Amino acid sequence: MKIKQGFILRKCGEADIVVPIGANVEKYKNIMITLSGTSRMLWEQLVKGCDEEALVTLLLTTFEDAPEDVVRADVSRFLKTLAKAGLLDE
Amino acid sequence: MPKLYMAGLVMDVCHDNPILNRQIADYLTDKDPDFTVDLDRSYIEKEIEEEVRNDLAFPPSYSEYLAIYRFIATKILDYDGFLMHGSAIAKDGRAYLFCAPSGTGKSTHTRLWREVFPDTIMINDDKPIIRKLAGEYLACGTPWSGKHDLDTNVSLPLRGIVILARGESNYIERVRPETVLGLLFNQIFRPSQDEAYLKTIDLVSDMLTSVPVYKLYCNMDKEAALVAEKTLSNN
Repeated sequence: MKIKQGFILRKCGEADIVVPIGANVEKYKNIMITLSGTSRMLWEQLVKGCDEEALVTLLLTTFEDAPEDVVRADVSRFLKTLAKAGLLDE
Repeated sequence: MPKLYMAGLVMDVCHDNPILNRQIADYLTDKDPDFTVDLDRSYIEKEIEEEVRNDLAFPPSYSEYLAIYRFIATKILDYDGFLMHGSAIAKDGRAYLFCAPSGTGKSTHTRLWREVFPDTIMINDDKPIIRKLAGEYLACGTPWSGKHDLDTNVSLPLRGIVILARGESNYIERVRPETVLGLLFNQIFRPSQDEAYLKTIDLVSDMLTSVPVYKLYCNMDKEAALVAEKTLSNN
């Protein structure tokens, strides 16, 4: 999976926001994407391209105490959100 | 052709636009221009295309009037300024910008301020320019101020951005800007070039580190202005 081309990550205050650029401007003009610290980690991996398993592993190694089932559910939900917004290339 | 002084800048406007001409008496100057506004036909055609896309049909002079401001709103980024949709007023030298989706009642609320506090200055009822000057963000009056043409040629320090929502009773609270970014960015003029837009985002981001953001739930009673002013003037 990979984030579609034409998005830039930008700091805005304490938030990270994803800004559509170029041809994406018209298409995504009503969407505002803000990322929390954790989702920013996932986003950065997805910009490079990775599979769901790699994201789960990343979070489990970063947050050692996090229960695996919760992490899996969170990653899956995050990916669904991105897919629903049309941001992912399979 | 008129030379206008606004937002601390002089602009030489090379257009004899009847709508603009009606509203610029307080903005005329003889000083040397910081930049020139001389749009070719294609720029104005683009404005008309945009209007057609949005199901709007304006007379040509109105399209030109809007195209001039669109150009200024992009050019002013070079001077750390940007255009934000909202009703900007000032009291006691402190400017406040009220933002909300169209139809929520921004102008109605700022009219209440003018009724309750007669010393309220209407900076720009619809599309003020916000400009960073000497480390401070100023709300600036311009002669593009919406359907009621309410504006004053002043630039005053912005002391609060207020997101307006209708409520049964009147209540104001400070909010973390991160929680209202979507709404805020919807009110900010987006230049068509990516580079210019990214600069806009960085300016807005910087502004939010020093200008507090509030959420105001209000009805149309005069009490709404009293409640808002009490909190806003205390920061």
